[in-house]
Amino acid sequence: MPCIYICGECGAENEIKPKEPIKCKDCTYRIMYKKRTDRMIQFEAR
Amino acid sequence: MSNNSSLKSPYQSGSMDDLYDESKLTDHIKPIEEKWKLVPAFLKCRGLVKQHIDSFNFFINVEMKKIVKANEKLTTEVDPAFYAKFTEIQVGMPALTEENYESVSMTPQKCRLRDMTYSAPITVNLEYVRGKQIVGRKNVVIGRIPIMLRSSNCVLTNKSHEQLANLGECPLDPGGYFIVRGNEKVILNHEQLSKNRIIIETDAKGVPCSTVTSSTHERKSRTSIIMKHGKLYLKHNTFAEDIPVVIFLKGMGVETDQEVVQLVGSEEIFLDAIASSLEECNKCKVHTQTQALDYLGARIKSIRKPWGMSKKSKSEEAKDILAGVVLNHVPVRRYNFRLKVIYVALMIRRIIIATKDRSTLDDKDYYGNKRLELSGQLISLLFEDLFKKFLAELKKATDQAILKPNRAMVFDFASIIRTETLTNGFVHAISSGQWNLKRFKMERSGVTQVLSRLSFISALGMMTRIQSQFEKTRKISGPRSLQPSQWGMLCPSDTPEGEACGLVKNFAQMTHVTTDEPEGPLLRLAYNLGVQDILLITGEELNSRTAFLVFLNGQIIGIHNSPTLFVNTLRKMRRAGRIREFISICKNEAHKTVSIACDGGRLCRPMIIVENGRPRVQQFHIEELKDGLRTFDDFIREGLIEYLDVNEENDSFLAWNESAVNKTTTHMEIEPFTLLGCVSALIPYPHHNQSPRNTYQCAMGKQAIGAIAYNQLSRIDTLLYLLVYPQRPMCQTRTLELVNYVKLPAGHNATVAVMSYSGYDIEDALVMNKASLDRGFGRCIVFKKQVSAVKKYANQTADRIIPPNAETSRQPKFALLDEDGIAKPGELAQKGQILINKYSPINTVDIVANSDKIPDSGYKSSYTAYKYENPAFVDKVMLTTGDDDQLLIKLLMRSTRRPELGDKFSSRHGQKGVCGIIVKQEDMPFTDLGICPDIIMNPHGFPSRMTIGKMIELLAGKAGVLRGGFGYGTCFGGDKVEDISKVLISKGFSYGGKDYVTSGVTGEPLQCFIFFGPIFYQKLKHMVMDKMHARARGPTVTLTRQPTEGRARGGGLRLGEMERDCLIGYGASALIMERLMISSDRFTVYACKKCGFLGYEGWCQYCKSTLQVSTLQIPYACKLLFQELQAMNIVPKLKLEDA
Amino acid sequence: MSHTLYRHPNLEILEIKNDSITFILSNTDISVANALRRVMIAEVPTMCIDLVEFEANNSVLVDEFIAHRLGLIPLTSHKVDQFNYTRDCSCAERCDNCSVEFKLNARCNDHSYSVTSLDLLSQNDHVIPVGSSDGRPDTVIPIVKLHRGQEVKLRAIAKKGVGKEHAKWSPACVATYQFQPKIVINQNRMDELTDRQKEEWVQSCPANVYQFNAHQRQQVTIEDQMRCMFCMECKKKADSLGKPDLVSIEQKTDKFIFNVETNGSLKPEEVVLSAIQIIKRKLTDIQTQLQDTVN
Repeated sequence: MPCIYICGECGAENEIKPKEPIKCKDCTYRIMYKKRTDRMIQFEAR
Repeated sequence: MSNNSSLKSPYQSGSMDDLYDESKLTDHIKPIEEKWKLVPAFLKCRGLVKQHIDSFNFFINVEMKKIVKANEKLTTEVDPAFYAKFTEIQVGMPALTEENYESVSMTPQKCRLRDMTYSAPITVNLEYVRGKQIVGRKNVVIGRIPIMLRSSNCVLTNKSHEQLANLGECPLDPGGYFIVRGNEKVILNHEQLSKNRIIIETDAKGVPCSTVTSSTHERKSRTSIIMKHGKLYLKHNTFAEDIPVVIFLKGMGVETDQEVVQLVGSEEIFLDAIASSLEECNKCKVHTQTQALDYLGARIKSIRKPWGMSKKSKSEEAKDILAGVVLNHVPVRRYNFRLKVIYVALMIRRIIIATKDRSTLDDKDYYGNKRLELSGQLISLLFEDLFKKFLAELKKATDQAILKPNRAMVFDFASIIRTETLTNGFVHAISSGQWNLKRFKMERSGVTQVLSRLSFISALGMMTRIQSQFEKTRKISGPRSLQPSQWGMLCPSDTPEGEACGLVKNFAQMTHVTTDEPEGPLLRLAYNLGVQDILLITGEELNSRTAFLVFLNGQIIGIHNSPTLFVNTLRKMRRAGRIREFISICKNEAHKTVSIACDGGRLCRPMIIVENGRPRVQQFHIEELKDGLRTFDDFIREGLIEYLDVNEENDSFLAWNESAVNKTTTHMEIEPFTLLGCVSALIPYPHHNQSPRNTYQCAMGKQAIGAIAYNQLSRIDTLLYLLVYPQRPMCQTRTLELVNYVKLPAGHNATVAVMSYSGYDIEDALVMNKASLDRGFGRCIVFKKQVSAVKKYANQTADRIIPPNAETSRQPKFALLDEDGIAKPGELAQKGQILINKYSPINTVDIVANSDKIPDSGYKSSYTAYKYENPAFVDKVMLTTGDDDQLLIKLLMRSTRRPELGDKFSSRHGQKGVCGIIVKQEDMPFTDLGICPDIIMNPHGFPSRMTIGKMIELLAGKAGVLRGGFGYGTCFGGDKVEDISKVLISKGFSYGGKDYVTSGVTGEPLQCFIFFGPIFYQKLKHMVMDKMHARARGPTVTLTRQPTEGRARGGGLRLGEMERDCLIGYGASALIMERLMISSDRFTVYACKKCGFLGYEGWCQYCKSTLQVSTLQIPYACKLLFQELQAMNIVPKLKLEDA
Repeated sequence: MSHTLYRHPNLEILEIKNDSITFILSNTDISVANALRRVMIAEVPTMCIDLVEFEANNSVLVDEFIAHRLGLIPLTSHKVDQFNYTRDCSCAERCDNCSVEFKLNARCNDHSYSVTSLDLLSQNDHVIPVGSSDGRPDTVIPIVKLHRGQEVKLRAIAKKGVGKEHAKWSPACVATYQFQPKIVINQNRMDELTDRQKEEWVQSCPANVYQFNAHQRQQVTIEDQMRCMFCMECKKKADSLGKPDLVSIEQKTDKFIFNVETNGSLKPEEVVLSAIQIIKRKLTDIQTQLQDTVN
């Protein structure tokens, strides 16, 4: 169940498995953000 | 210069008569235009937050080295040959060593996000004995120290806006705080009475006494001389009783009464006052120094010393105490007590003068007698304590290592250095705010506070805050009231209401706090300028008519016979830059003293120097400043502007503007509006408001929602409120631009009609236009943080996060979870839905061989769920490793709110109100031009509040809108109403700001004109959505079985004491019974009529019978009380009667 | 006066511009004028984006923020009558008869990119963002600014609605009327004043309604009474001159100068006509109901 995360520094997509350290493969940055949901989110324009 | 030939400037005509013609001196000084440009120039190099940074820099670069120098050598009794020496202490740049030992530079933003400490390593050069040889090691890390943002060792200093943006930092952020474990912590400024100065005050009986708090690096002590029955005594901790002052003096070698009298003063009044004290000394049969020391020795408070250190005799001990403990700030070299004798004599003299003339009493609240303790000083105290602790630990470890019988390797001192003492000491002190220093017996808590990030201005306001040492609970008015000496130094408006009123203060815009400067050069200079050394002066000379005592930082250094010349020369040297600009020189005619001060913590501010009735700053200087040819420091260097501290201000004649300059004037204000702080500078036209209104606004401005920083969206704060469309106020002030409020504003320019409408506007309620709300007025975004740490335990187990399985994924509770068991950004979370599906091992103690083999039953769920009533979107999900290599998950939840009934709004004049009704646009009144108001405000808000500033703000704003520019409501300046009216008229509006308005409901014109225009309104953080609460049934507290308290716990609505009183008064006993017991914690108990104890199910355990047991209803809390009393051997008994 | 009893409302157009209209409504009552004004603000239907479905958004503005901004963009609604209100429509959720779908798909590959109403692609040529047809950069409406790598992808659904529900549906930016002033100068009183006083009195009006030229005729005249904003400064001045009856200013309550400005979704005359239509329909509805109940 690996998931894709986005590096907070370079924006590269990283696949990180559970128990793996949080670290960007490109720039070794250690803050990752989760990707946005694929689901459509509906808003009222009010 | 002047275009009027009869009023020629004295600089143009050379003759002396012109120069000294009084009339020509005083009248006509052309105001210097745009003088206010000096304020931003000042703020560039000093002021507001810079005090924190300066003091921290001073600590890192100067003070720290001094502390280490004083404690540089570590020796041990165990091995006399061994020593270790610490030299060249240095603080590096903040960096972080990751687990693979690579060093990465730290940025504050990284620390905030990763819950880490923004700290830098402290390194020293080490020299120590290893075996038989002396070895040296360079740059040994001894610990880490948290670094203040924007200080000399911060990565943010001297960075351009763009570079700061790349570091994820807001360029407008003032810095001056620390980041400890991801929290922003501010060390507040502390205000206290100045040390090492004689303060004459009255004791409880109203008799004058003189007190000195001596503080040196070694010791802190307090000495007072008091008057009892007309006799003088010395009071000090080390003596068990009050010591007659003359005996004390004799103990210091003043053996003859004549000398005592000469030192104090040989005039009649002093003779009379001291006679009885002399007599008492005689009665005690103390005539010589030896006798005096014996007398004193017998009265030393005996402190049992564990090992026989007291080989000295009592009288020798007394001599040591006189030399080193009593008034320890007055140096005594080789038992030469002369200086201390003169000091004590002066204290006595002051008391005697004060008994005759009460006006010479010192004012404790006078700001010249106060010193501010800044973050640098507090950190320095902490460092000194920690460093000594660090050395003590090292010594202990060294002793152990050396004593170890047969060691295989040579003892290497460097290998036993542990960095934890310093690192954790700093982190713990700053994050908890507890400064427990053994050496000074200092146990202060609440030294640090979390930086309030509610709005930009609240963060800035926190950095300028000053806390007083007085207790909040004491109901004293003196230290709370506004002090005249506060003018220009501390803001007169910005103080909280209630218990901390007047004790918490804020800096004014141009205040600077000094740091310590060396005394040596000043001392030499003073002697060169004709000060006669105090040690060479006899008592008679000391108190002669012409002699002025010269003090340096409270220390008597000598006398001078022509003080005016001395003072003037010193000041000239300061203006010429020969001595530092923050040195204060002032003459006190009443006390016949000249005080020179170069100590740290004094409040001072810059003033324009005026000479011969002409300010030295000329128009061309300002022009040069505007063209960037000059900085503020150039003004100082050229002697156009100088810093005055409170004491020197008292010795000067200050003019508040050009028109107030006369021949005696010595200085002029740069800009009078700088007397306000940065928070009260938000208020337009504050000088037209009733003063408490400005104070209210200072409290409310900090609660206004707006933009907090440029990096606000990349921050993950516990709670963050943002305005969707913040606007820059139409009517602003000069300071608003200087503190960058215009770039990070908090509020909207609402078109306000001041009229009554609908009756839903009473008690300050506001009527709001629905269309305005539709279009985004007052709309705000609320961010809330949810955190979870995936812990690793000592027994090789760890928390785990699990995605929902086939069965659970169908439940709505698990609907948000992604494949990694964490909610995805963008989704809407409802109450109770799981955000992080975390499981923790049940057994975290016993070692597990293979943590992967633990069955699912070995884990318990410890998920993080969304717990609020109102749904919110997942905005961000951040994963990182924290300080301790644990996975840290932070979720940011977001919701957008439009204003609703009951939300709180406020203008900038302390006029808060809630939204009382939301009205459709078509029902709103409209002007000829079709303008509908956004807000209707009830005119009853004006008469009692007297906020004329708000009215002028409306006018200035309206003129600004019509003219296409901003109005200025700067304090003591700003646009004049007359000019504003002219603009209004020229644009076809009424000069008074009133418009002809038609009712939207009836279509008929209103009977009167309506005051109509833009006013800057702030949305305050108090929103109905966060407070709304009701309950019928709900949870109870387990212990008492009463309903829980508070909204967060779904608590009940309390029927309090006063409500209860009403019901009692009304006689509604059944209602009280219902509210207080039946609806709360009713409980059925079985009580025995015979013994009065509580029984169980109809059975009395005491009487072993069922006969006399009856049932009754009492509150469970009552039953609990009985049982608790029984548990402590108190027997409550119930006496039952038939009813 | 008999003619006030039997009168016919009259409308005189003073000016029609692209987005504003000025006309005089006369021979009627305040209630009628106000009804017209209120209906123009609150009940004239237009098309506006009401639902936004986000597929991607990593811009600096949050989803709701962009949705709100999209909602406030005026859409050309000249064909609004062809649409049903979604609640009245026969379809289950929505259909082309009650809604228009928009697509926005913007991605920034350069340094920065401004997403504007031009990026909002309509599936109905009649309903498009105002100002996007001519493509002039000064008339387009900015939505969000993107940095490199940022992207906004969404589907927006416009529906028919009225300003009562949400201000975004209101076509009228300004819908107001003024009363025509009726200024009468008492010339006899005026003659009692000196030239200097007359001059002073004329100057007292901040809107320059009056005119006085001492050299030509010795009379104070009304230059333009429409300029009067009823500030009553001239009355106050007259009082201070000791002549309270020097001038009388009243509002004519049967003549209204209307000024209507639109946000571009409808033409100004369409707004007025539509408003009248709506009032008429309401009355017809009452009429039929009454007839139905009586019969």
